[in-house]
Amino acid sequence: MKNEMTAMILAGGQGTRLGVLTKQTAKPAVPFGGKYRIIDFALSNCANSNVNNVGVVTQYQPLELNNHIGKGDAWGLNSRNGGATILQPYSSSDGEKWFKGTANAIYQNISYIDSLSPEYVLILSGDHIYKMDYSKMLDFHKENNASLTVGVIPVDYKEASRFGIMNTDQGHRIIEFEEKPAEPKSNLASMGIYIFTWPTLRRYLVEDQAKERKLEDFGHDVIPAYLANGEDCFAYSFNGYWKDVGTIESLWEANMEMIDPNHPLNQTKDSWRIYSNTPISPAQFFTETANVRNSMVVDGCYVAGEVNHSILSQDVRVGMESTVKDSVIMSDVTIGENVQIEYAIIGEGAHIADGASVIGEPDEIAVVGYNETIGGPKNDGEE
Amino acid sequence: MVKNKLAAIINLTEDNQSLRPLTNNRPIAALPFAGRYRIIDFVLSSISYAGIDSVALFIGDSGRSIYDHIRSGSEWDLQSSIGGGVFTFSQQNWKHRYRIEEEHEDYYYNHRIYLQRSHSDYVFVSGSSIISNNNLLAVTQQHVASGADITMIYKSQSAFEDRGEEDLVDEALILDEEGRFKDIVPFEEVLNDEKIHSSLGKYIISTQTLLDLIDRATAEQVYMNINELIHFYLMDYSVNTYEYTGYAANIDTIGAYYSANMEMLSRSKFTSLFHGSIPVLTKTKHGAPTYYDENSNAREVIVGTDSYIGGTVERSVLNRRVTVGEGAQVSDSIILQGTKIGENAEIRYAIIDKNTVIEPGAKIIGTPDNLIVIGKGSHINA
Repeated sequence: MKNEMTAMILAGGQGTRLGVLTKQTAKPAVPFGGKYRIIDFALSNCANSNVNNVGVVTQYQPLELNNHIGKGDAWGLNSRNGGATILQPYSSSDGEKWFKGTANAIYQNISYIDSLSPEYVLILSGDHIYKMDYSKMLDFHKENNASLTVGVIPVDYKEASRFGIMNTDQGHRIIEFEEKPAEPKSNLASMGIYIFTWPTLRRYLVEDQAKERKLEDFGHDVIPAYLANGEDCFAYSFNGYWKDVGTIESLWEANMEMIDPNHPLNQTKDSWRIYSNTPISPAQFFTETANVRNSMVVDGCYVAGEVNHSILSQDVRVGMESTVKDSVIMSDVTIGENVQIEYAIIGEGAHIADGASVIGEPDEIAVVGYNETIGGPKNDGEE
Repeated sequence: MVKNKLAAIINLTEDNQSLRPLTNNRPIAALPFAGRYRIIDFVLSSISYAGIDSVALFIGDSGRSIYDHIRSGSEWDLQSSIGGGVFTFSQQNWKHRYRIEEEHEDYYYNHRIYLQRSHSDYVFVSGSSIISNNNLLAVTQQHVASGADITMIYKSQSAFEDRGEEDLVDEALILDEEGRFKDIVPFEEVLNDEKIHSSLGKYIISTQTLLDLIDRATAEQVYMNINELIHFYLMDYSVNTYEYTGYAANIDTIGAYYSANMEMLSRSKFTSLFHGSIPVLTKTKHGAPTYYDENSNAREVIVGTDSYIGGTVERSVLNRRVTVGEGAQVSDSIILQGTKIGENAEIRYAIIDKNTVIEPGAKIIGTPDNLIVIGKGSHINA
């Protein structure tokens, strides 16, 4: 079968704004929505869009991503002609291949893409929460005979100066690109989703490498170069839910939004499932003292306390007389008895001892790191 | 070569008449259990934990529900491309029913082929209706040390235990003071004993002994399922016994199916079965997390993923993808996957099979002595 389009997911972001949650985990591997990791959305979108070859480009803390993605079996990408491949920097005879930017990361992996000889390359970011059919964007790209199509989403005008803004003509042709403009002329923000006609992009990257070596980043360097050379660049407008979860607050907020059963991503229909690679745990077990409302709960949970407007991920235990409100509890967390948790994100494997509390505010979410212990005998007498 | 290599033969042809309508289109092994498992998952998980990479399944009828569940066997690490795998032999019931003389010659043909090709020293043989979580490595080790021909796994219960009336099987083991096997007798004979030892119908036997046993059966024209065959000739061999101390249940009637599910609401039994050293594995489903509405009230329940709970659920086991509408009340019931319970509907003491639609306001009210069973894909009006 011909390989029309190959996806490259840029999962390299260290995500320093997520603090302790990304200290030892790449941002795309951060758990989300009870049973997913952030990158599951991009991977599932690929699988559901019939993009069967996915290169995952990473350089920080690759272990967890490697474990999670493997060969892509969990996303149905394990066919003879497809699969997920983790692409990491390595040192070769012509020097170390540490990625200098998004475009440079693609340049460093030209041989991988060449081995698949696709006509188009889909460039994605691994840290956005959304559901999108890339095959429709590819149709749009082909209809316009474009060499570049950029996925854009309309944002509030007052927010627009935070994004890369595309100014287009009536035919969706990009005529101008402004990175974080003070006075935006449009509200079409780049989603960091690009379809490139591969031979053209390849030529740009190879020629640049031989001469100036300036094309390091897609937004900063490649798109302006394409526009300056009169390449056919188009904006593909996406109107669904899309969220960048780069900060603690946005991560918490996106999780809270997922709780709503009418949320566009929290669907229970089969047509556009989000897949993930999760171990198997028994079904949820609630005791007679449990009280769970307006919340999402996953396999392996044991609940004897009160849970309100929260997400309990796999294998979470909530003891008697404990209250969890407006919080995200990641997997394998043990919450003892008489514990209060509010406006918090509790990292995987954390232990909240009997009587302890973790209380944040809506605009200042409390965060407990992975495998951290809060309260218990160790802390006695500290107050 | 792995020391003491093991193969496994599972017989799925138990009589399932008394589990109808739940078994109209599936063997007992494919019945859902504890919110997300199938009964066969327990024996397959024991097999997987023991590092067995090849298993033969003897299936009564077409086996569609079993194939659909097991697929390549990869969830249980049985998908090995080198030698191992899941080998299925279906339509065993048909073979039984049409006992044509000349076909008897090859009645055990598939068993023989499987045993010869598995290149294993020992075989684990089991039925499929008894749920337990056995450490087969430990059993095999003890079997080898005992030097006996056959090791039989059993469970002891005190006669007055709360579930005393639900015996695991029809026959009980008689053991001497050192716990050595003496005899196997009908249950009635031991009813007043302080302790009753029930066979779980699970054995470890050397491949050579099993082949000898098959030869003998062929010569004597004894044709039965392989686990029954071992039991049939048991007294002619030296028998070692292995006591299993974890949770066990024999799913042979609707009542037994109901109470075993309900027993899982006991934290200690749930923990014994699911949180021991052997993980229970099953097919992965990519379901969304379960959503509990702001008016929901779920207590003493086991719930699978991808469900929506809008009403009250008490003392019940809900499998995956179940919808409980607002104002609905479900108690003391088992709801199998994909069932939709409309708003303000009421369900008590019932077992509702897969993909049933219960209209808003409909009532299904059973009693502890009269459970109501609704067949797969039914539509219940108000």
